[in-house]
Amino acid sequence: MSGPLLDIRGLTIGIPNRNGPPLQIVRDLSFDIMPGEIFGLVGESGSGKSASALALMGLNRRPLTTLEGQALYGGQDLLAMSRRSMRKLRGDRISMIFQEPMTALNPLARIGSQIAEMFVLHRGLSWSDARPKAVEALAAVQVPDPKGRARAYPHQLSGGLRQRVMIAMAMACRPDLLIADEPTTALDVTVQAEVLRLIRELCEREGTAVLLISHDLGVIAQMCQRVGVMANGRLRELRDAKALFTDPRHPYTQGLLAALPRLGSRATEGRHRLADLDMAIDRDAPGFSETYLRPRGEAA
Amino acid sequence: MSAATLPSPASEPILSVKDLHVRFPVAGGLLRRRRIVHAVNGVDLAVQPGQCVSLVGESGCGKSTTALAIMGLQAPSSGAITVEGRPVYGPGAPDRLARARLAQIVFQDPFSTLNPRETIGRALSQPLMLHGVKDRAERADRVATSLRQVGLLPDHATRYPHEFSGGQRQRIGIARAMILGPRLIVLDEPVSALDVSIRAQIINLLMDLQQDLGLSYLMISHDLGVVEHVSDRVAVMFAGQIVEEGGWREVFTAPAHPYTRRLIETIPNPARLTGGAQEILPPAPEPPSGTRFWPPIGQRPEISRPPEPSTFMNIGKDHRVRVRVG
Repeated sequence: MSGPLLDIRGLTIGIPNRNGPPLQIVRDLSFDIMPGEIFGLVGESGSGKSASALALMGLNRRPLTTLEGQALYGGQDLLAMSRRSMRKLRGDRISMIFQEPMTALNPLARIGSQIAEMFVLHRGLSWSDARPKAVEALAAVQVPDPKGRARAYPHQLSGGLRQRVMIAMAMACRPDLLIADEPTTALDVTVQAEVLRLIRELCEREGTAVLLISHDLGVIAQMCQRVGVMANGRLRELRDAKALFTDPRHPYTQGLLAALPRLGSRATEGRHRLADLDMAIDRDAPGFSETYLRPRGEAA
Repeated sequence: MSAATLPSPASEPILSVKDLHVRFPVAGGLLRRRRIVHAVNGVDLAVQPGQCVSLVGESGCGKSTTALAIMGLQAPSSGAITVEGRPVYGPGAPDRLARARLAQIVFQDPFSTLNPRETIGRALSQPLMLHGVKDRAERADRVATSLRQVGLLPDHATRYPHEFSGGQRQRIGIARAMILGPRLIVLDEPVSALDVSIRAQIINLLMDLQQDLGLSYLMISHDLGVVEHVSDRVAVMFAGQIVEEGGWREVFTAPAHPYTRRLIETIPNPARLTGGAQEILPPAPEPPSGTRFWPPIGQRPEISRPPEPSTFMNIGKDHRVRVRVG
C-alpha cells in the first residue's frame, strides 16, 4: 500500500445561478481514501455528501453543476475525464450502490441479465459466458437459490435481496472503490446488519475500498476506519472513527452526537432532553456560506 | 389469551386492546384459493394516562395494522379496543366525530397527509368547524395556540405545506393531532423521516407536550434508540404477536426473548465503539422451567396459518415474555 487510491483536493460544486455567483453546495472538500479502506462520510440532508459522490462518478456535471478541484485516481482526474473514459471506469473500477435498489434496477429485465451485462460491457464476455458468472456473483452475495433467482425480476424480490443484487452488480468486476450511498437506509435493522456485514466481508476479500455515505452515525461507527463529517457543503471534521466518537472536536460533531438518542444511555443518563441544535445558515452570503451552531432561541 | 395477569392498574387505562386479531383474505396460489394472512394475532396492550407505550418490530410485523385498528381505520377480525373506556367498534361505539376527540394519529410523512392547496390555518381549523366551533375568532385563536404549542408562529397559519421544512411539517402534524384535545395520540414512526438534529427537536417537543398536557402516547417505531429514550413501556412485536413486554428498563437492560435480543444487538450503535454501557447485553436468561421462548429464533412463523399456541408469562415484576409450554 503506497499512496491513496483516491485523492480529492478542493472539490467545489456549484449550481449556476442566473442572478449571481453559483450557489456552492460543496465547498473545498478534501480527503483521500486508501486502498481497501472503509471511509465514512456522514452528514444531514443537504450537507453535500451525495452531491460529492455523484461528482466522483461523473454523474454530476456541467452544465447542471460547475465543478472545481481535483479527484485523482491512479494519476487521472475523475472530474476532468471525458464521458467516454468515465463510462469505462464506472461500474468496472469504481462502482456505486444507492439507497433504493428498486429505482436503480431495470424493472423489465431479469436480474441475472442485469448482472451479466457488467461482464459483457466491461470484460468483453459473450452473453452465454456471462450468465453463469452472474449466478456466481449472486451466490457471492449469499442470495439463496442463485440459479433460480437469476431469472427473477426486481419486483419479485424483497428489499434486502434487491440490495444484495445491487451489491452483486457493483462488485461483479472487483472494483477498486465502491461508493455506497445510504445502502441500508431503506432496510429493517436485522436486514441492515446482514447487508453491512456482507459489504464489509466482500470488500475485505476483494481488497475494495468503500466510500460509505450515511446519515446514521451508528452505521458509520460500526463500519468505518476514518470518518468525515459534513455540514452545509463543508467538511467539518475528519478523524479516525474511534477518536471522532469518543472525543469529537468540532461543535457540529459534538452537537450531532448529543442530539442522538443512544441505545443504553437512558439507564445512566436518564430521560434527558436531547441537545437541541439550530443550524443557522447565512443566506445573504454568496452561496450557502457558513453554518454555525447555536443553542435554540439564542440570537444569531 | 395471556396466562399472565396484568398488574392491577392504578387508574382506568386510556387505551386498552384485548386479544386483537386482524386477518386479511388474499387471493393467491395456483388454484386461486383464498388464503388468510394473519397480520395481528392476539395483541394485548394497555396505555395508562400520561404514559408512553411503544410498539416495536420490523416491517410487516403488524404494528401499523394495530395502530390503524386502534384509530378505527381497520376493523378487527376479533378482539376489543377501548379508548377512555369506550369501545372503538361494535354497537356501543361512539361515532367518528366523537372518536376523533378521543384519539388522534401522527403519521411518518406529514406532507402526504396535508392538502397542498390548503393553508395550514385552514387545515387546523377544519376539525374545529366540524366539531361545532362556530365562532371564527375562537377558531383562529385555537389555531394560534396550537401552533405556539408546537413551536411555530401564529403567522404560519397563512402559509401552505410546501413552504415548511420537514421538521416544521411534523410539528404541523402534531398540532393537527392535538387541536381537538384528545388525551391519546398514536405516533406512527413520528421521527423516522427526519435528520438527527431535527429528530432531537421533535422528540423533545413530544416529551414536553406529554408532560405539560398530560398526553398519552402509543408510539410505533423501529428506532430502538428513540424508543428507549421516550417510552415508559415497550412491547416487541414479531409476526403479529407481542413476544416481549414490560417497563423500558426491563426490556432494554434485561431483554429475554431471543428476537428482542437480536433487535438490540443488530442496532449499529456508536456506544459500542466508545465502550458504552450497552456494549454487551447481559447473558440471556433461561425461560421459565418447562417452557421455551416462542417463536424460536431462526424460525419465522408462517403468517398464512393461525399461530401455534403459546402463552405470555411473567418473568419479572414488570416483564412478560412469550413462551411455549412443553
